[in-house]
Amino acid sequence: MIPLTAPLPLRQTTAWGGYRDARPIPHRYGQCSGELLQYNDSRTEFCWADHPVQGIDAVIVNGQPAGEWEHRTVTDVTGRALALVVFGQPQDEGVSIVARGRGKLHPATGALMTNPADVVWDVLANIAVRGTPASELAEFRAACARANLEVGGSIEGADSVQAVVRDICSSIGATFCATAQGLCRLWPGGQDSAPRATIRDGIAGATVTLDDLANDFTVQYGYEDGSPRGSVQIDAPDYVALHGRRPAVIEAPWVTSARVAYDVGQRLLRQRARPQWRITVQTQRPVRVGEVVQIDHPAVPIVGAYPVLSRAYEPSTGVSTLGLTAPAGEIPVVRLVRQSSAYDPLQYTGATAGTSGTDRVITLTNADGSPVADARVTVRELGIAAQTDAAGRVVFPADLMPAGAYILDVVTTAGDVLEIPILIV
Amino acid sequence: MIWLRIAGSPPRQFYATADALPHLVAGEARHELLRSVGTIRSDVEGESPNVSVELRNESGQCTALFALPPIGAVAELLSEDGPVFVGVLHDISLDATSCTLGIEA
Repeated sequence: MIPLTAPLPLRQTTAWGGYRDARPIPHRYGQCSGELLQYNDSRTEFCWADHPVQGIDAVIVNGQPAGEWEHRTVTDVTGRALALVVFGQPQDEGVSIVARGRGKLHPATGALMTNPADVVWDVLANIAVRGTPASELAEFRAACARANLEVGGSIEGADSVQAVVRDICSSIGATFCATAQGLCRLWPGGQDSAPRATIRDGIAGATVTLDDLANDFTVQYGYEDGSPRGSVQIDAPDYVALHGRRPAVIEAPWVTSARVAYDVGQRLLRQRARPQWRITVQTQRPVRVGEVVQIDHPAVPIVGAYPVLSRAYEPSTGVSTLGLTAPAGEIPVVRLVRQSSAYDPLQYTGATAGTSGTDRVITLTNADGSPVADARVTVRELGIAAQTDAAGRVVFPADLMPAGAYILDVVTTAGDVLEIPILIV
Repeated sequence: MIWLRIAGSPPRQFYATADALPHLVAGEARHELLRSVGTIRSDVEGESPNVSVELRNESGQCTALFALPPIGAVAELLSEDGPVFVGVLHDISLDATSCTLGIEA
């Protein structure tokens, strides 16, 4: 079992019979994009992932869509299956070649892994080979499914196991601790279990600082080549009025949709727009990180149940010093300020939205930028439907579609069924 | 009551007093060398969970036992109620009187 502080043991291109550059071979999850690695000497075959993938949707060479390519799953000289892009013609030296697609499949279900718990499990159990059973992350998996949280991204470098897992978790507003109940949990937010202990007396303390306050978040998501392709800005107007505008940028490299970015930002903002009491208490009860304690202590200005975020356990005395964070004040109203995208005509199969007069105009595009024409589009939350025109546009009355996050259920002329999240500002 | 098991080759168990003997795994090497177990720290934002364990080494027992150090082996702190901490033996420090083991999750 490798420790969490050890680099994640990715295979290197040097494992192949020949290679262009010695690089880690990536693992890819959900909707994601990434650079292709040269696989054969004649520069017609390039590797996208160190495992089979659900599909590759677009290939971009020097910023332009590539023609004449196909996705293949091949076995390399070591017997390992790879996801390759095979070109009809050799590619020039020095060009940038990026592919966009849908990554690793769950080894048990064969489904695309997008639930954050599945991705964390795969990293711990199958790449780091730590023997982590999927059942240990069952609660986290269920919480992510209830919140419709999906991730997509790539593991391409030699970061530590812990750093990779925390990167995934922090993107969606979750925590990871190897000794925590269930390993991961959504925080802030998430479903709390019954308190394991009630703290009414003993050593306790609480501190609060202005430095922890943030009431205007910009959540950056949809990372490609280290840069975000989209951002969502939300704020808490009442707390902006109270404390002044205190902005923060949340980098969410594993978030690929505006809807998830909005959800994550909302949860974080509801916590961080309010003053945060950092509380330490002591108990003899065997409470783990991630479990909940009820605080009702005269030295602590907050009464309530909160998850444990840190623990220092002294085996000689049986005493644990627990660290918690509790917000003070009313839960803020969160306002969606704006959504913006990087200038890039090429996107995943997705949707962009705008308002024209009294209509919401939604434009659907395929991964290569072509319009999704003559498709039936249903706004799931509202139960209203319409058809896209030749330019991939569909229109809904603005009074029926107020600002917020929605899911579009799309049926194309080819019979493909798509589920596309969208944010109306 | 806590004792330490290192799943090396061979597995070894370290305990403080004979009270622990009934709880130890039969058939594995046992050593009454456990002196103290440090604070077990866990944090969602901080360093990886870790703990230091100190063994007695006045007669060079640990120096001899760890001549081929089992670093990388699974190390468990156990009690009558079950595992207290499970990790990997990350580092070993020896001096004339003690041996300190660093265990990381």
